[in-house]
Amino acid sequence: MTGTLLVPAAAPEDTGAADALRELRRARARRTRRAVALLALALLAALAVRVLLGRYTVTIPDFFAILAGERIPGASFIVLQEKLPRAVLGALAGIALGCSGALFRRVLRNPLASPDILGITYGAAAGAVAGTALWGLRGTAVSWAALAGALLAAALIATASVRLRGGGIVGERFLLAGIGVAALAQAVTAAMLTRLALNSAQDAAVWTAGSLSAATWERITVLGACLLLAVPAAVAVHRALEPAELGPELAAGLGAHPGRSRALALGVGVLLAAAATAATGPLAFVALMSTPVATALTRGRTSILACALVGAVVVVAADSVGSDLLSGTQLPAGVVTGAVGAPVMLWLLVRQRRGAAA
Amino acid sequence: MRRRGPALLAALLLLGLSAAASLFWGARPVDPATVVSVLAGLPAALLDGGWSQLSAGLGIDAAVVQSRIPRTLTAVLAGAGLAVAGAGMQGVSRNPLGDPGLLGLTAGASCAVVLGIGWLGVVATWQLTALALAGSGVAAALVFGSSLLGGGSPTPAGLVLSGAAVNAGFTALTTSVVLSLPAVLDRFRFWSIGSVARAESTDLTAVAPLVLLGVLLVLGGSSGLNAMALGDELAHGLGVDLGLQRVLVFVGVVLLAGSATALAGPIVFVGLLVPHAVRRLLGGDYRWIVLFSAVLGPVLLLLADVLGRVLTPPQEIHVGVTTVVLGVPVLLVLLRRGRSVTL
Repeated sequence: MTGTLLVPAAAPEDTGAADALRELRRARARRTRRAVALLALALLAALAVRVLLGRYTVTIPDFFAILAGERIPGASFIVLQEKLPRAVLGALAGIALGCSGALFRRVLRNPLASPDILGITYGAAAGAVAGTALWGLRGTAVSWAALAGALLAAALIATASVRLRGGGIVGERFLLAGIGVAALAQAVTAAMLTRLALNSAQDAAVWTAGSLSAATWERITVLGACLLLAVPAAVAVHRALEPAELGPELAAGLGAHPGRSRALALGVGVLLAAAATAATGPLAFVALMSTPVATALTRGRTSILACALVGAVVVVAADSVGSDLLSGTQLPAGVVTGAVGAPVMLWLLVRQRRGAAA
Repeated sequence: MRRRGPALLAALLLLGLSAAASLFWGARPVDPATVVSVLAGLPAALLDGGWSQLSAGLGIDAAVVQSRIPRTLTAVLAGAGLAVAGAGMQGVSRNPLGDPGLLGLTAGASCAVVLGIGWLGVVATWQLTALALAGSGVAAALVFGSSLLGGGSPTPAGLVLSGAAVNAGFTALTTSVVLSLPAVLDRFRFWSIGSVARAESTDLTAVAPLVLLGVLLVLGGSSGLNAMALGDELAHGLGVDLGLQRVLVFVGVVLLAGSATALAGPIVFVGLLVPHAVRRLLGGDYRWIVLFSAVLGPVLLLLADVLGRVLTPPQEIHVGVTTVVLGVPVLLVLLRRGRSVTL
């Protein structure tokens, strides 16, 4: 599966042990592959539910006819301009957040380390609201302001936590600085919200909650292009950092260059989170939740593909629930992920502690 | 050890100075003589139950000064409440990041307030205060309950993680109410920013006893916090009943966080910064940390409020923003110094 694990120099007499080890590793790889395949199926199912079912139901033959270019009055518009863009944008944003969460988790080796807690997504929200309040930005320009906010937040965290001499990123300091930046960004957002007229404040509040309602094919193209570049980089860096799971000293002993790949991984993680947030607003908890859930599914090994797929499934399903399943009201996807994510997170924590105690 | 007496005097002097600054400075320049005359009339006005006969003679300036008095008192109460709640939280959870805001208590309180405004149509201050207390109590129970469920004592990281989870859950609930009811959004966005300017003197009389009670509870449990800092086993060996002390501090923290949030809205960083600064100056004895936090928390909030008033007159910057803008650089500098923030 990976070339970075230690290959044991098997002496002729203990081929039995080597065989057992190889068998063990093969079983683990099989388990990961099975989990990834199941998650891909789950994503397909979630997408199908989002596009075909809900308040406006589309039959499967109609859906393919619409995709093939046939014009069905009403249905064509709803599928092509509303349901499909939302589903695709949700899946892309979920993939980006899942990858980003996995990278942060691996570099900082802390369950708290995720772009939501570190203030990168809050930075994006602050940028967007500031852009709306101060310069009256609308539409796609808001996304650029969000991107600038996220990058500014990341730069602030980095200046506070990166040591110039000696190099490297100090994990704990990075986390604390991130929590500080998150509080700063939230305060800026709240201050900007009070300067807006009530109507724009309502729009801004929907945006800061994280919502797919502004999904357009233009946004999907931009985010998709970002992902096309960033996801392979994320997978490569994640794999290169596999020895880092063992701790910095041991990893250096194995010949890895932790400093450089860690900085690269954080950079890619920030970019992914920023791109996703710029397109949809901060979707609470997706990045934080996807890594532990994926690790629980693959039983022990963190596969970045599994994390990305979990993120996508969560976002698409949350959007279905928020827009179709609640009677009387429609909620942005970010509110649903926050409400569902909190108990899941608590349950995971309790389970993890049970495992540690046993 | 000998430095503590003079240090406490200096801190009290600082508190007096910053309270005076809050009374004398503001977005509208007022002649100091007017301030003094209004203050001199304060006892008489309290006895009569109103400002009627005084304000007639002095006009708008007097009214401005009169509005600064409840504002200053709000800052003192909220600052003391938040800082002591932070100190108690850091002690109970043995966690450098213990802050009522980070662990979700203020989020719980604001969620309860929003639910009250939106669904129950609550307006009276005592009702809002009761709701905020209930909300922060529920949040605290969730955070500590879930961190206890697995057995054994909670780790700092686990606790902050539960706090983040509870925080996000309450934020989601708040957002969903705010988004479905535009009228609530209009009130909430001004409430959620954290400001000491809107409290009335009736609010203060309702909340002041709660803050006092909370500070006394945490102070009463602070010798237990010292024992807890040694670890549960060692404290047990010393014969300290940690259970009772923990409950005392816990109830105190919930009271303080809830009442401060009801009074001034969610304000972060006061509870995180003040105890850390005290610890750095005076060492790790919790009895002193709690006492000094009760004095220096108001100083931080008062100075932040004065700064927000004089920076961009005639507009004012809310104290919820200035505390963060003041607090984050301090935190980042502390982090840059090399040594990480530890207990």
